[in-house]
Amino acid sequence: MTRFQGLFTLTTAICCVILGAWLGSVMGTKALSSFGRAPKVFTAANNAEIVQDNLASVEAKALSLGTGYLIIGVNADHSVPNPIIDAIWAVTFTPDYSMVEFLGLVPTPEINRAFYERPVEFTALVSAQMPTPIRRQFVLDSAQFIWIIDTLGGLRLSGTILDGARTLDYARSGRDMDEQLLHQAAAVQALLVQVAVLGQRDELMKVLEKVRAGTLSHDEINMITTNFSPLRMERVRVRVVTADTL
Amino acid sequence: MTKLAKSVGRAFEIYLLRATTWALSRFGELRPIRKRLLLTWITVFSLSMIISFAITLLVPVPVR
Repeated sequence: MTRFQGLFTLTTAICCVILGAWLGSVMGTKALSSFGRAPKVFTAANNAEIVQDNLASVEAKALSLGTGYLIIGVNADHSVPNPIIDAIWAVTFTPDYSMVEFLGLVPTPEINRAFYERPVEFTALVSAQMPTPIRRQFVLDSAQFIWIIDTLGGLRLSGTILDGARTLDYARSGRDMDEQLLHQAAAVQALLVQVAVLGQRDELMKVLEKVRAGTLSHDEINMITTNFSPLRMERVRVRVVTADTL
Repeated sequence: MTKLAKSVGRAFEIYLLRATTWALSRFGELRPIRKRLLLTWITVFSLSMIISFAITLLVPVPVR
């Protein structure tokens, strides 16, 4: 092989390596996104597939308006086939990820029934209250909620530090659904304060790592951690929609 | 300073033109190795793509 042949082979082979690496990376990212579409860690809903199909159709729209996620807290303590919905919280990021809003909704009996029997209707009912379409939904059971709070070191509520189980009791307490929702909002506020206080410490990283493993795509987790880690409270808004306004 | 920049630019241009002319004049030398060249391209492209794909899938995302 002459000097020119060697030089030409080497140069063009380097170009092929770069091209291949880029294509492999793009394909890998796409594959990760499609794997991440089905929530794994925090999902227990038997209707997940139907809801996911419905969510996929609004995904493109969600990207232009902002990104919305739905977190459904279920009471899995009961030994009934369909656990009761304790809480419905919509988390919405603005398109430029400068703000995040936590919106609490009252889990009315109608919403509860729709969640298990008519998932498409459930999505429509909840979406009507949200500023952006839902991109993904996650189901969080009592044990997972308690684990998150305990891992973060408990929440400061009403002047005392409550562990996961006591925070759950507090969030469930209240004369009616509206009062329960206000307690939930206080707990969410306290949770966000605790996250802001922890900054980038190991406790928070442990929770994020668990959530990351299968629930969100590579790009989504990158966008959230880049823009909201460490969390600053002036970029967070918490509000509720009570039963009267539903 | 402007004169220096112009001189450097001119030298670069001459060097590039000479290299291109040299490469074009020797292009015919590639004919005997075209099969090996093609195989090299396909091999390195495929390997690079597979490794990059595997890394993207398997290496966890650092959480800040």
